Amino acid sequence: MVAVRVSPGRRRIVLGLAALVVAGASVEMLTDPPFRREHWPFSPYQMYSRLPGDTWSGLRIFGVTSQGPGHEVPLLDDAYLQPMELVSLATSLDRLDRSRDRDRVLPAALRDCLTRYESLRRSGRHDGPPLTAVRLDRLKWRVVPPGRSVLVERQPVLEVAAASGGGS
Amino acid sequence: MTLRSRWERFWFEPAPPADLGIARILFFTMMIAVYARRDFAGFSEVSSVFWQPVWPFRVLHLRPPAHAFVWVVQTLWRLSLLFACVGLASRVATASAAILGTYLIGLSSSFGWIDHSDPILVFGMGILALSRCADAFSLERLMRVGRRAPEPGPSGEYRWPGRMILLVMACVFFAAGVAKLRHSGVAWVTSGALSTYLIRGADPLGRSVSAPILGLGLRVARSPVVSMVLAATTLAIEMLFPLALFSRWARRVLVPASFVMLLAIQALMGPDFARFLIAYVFFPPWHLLTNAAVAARRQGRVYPVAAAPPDPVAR
Repeated sequence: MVAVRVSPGRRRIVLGLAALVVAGASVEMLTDPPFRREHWPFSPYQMYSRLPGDTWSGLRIFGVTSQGPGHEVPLLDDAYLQPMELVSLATSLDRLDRSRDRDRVLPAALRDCLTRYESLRRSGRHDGPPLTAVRLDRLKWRVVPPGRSVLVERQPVLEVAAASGGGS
Repeated sequence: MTLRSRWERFWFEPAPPADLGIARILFFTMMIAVYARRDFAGFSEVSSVFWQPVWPFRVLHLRPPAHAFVWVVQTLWRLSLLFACVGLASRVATASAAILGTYLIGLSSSFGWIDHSDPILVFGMGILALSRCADAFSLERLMRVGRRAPEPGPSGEYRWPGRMILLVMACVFFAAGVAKLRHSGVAWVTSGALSTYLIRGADPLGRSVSAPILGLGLRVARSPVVSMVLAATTLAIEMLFPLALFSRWARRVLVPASFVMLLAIQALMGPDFARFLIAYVFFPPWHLLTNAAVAARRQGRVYPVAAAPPDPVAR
């Protein structure tokens, strides 16, 4: 068995790395930047840190099937729009909906979702139904005692059809 | 004990090479398993309206790359993970795994959502790239044995990588605890916040993360006492975790407690911590397993001789 000594160089690397980790984490904790301004891979880890209200809302995408209006499926499976995941999509759509350039970027985002959904479906990457359009709705839920939630409001935001490629 | 000797003992107390060698195998095996189905190249086809680069990408003015480029990077990364896992050309393999992996994970975090399970793996790959993680349980080691190279003994070289992961983890948990106290105070425990989060997580359309593994979330949510106790336990583990850096006993309690906490959150509420949990492979004293295996093998060799029936010819 041979002795392996820790070299002075390695000690300096360890000290430097430890200082970097502590400094990076401290900066994030002290400055508490909003979600998208954090200094990845460091983070203030704010998720679930705020008191949630009894009502909450969010944008959700629905696929309109070839059976026409009313026949729609919520696009909840990550396989439908990969590599985008449901959580990325919800956060992004919310940001785009509040964007100053909303009228341009939101239809573009929905069109991208529809194109990708169909492209993945045709290549057999998921088994969802064929879609003729996608709809974006703002949904609102409320917590109802004892411990359940109900959908209380549904407000259409935008629909993009496959053929026309425009928003309505 | 002086501060200097405490520092020295924390980072460089001799550890057997088997601990880091087995941690390396498990870490990279799980990385391959978790990221095998992730198509990073697909991000190059996502509309640019979703592009929201993470800090290093913003600073370096990196744009969404071409499909072929990401495909090549992704393929090289997977090969690097494989080589690092088996311990072949480990210096190059671990370094390229760290560099390419940081790029790909950063890329996937630049489309609207930063998954906070990923960064610890970025640190993990970087730490392994700077360590002597292939001194045991590697093909390199086997080749050296063939050349009759002596076996490395316990050393601080095999201790510090696990300690660095522990430091990263302490920063993560402590930051999460501080954020809760800053934004909500003790009301995060007393107001039933966890109960509301559990109810939201149970709504198939209302949640924006993956579904909880168990359907027990709503049951917990309906009991104010249970959800408050769980919230208090979560906050206590997060705020106390830095003690694991200073006390052996705190490590023995807080490290497994945090592991169970993450599993419980995923089971009841839905957020996927599978990637974060990979980092725990650095903590078990794996050499106890290998020592037991060696002892069992030695016993096995002795047993047939001792218990062998008398030679029938001699009888």
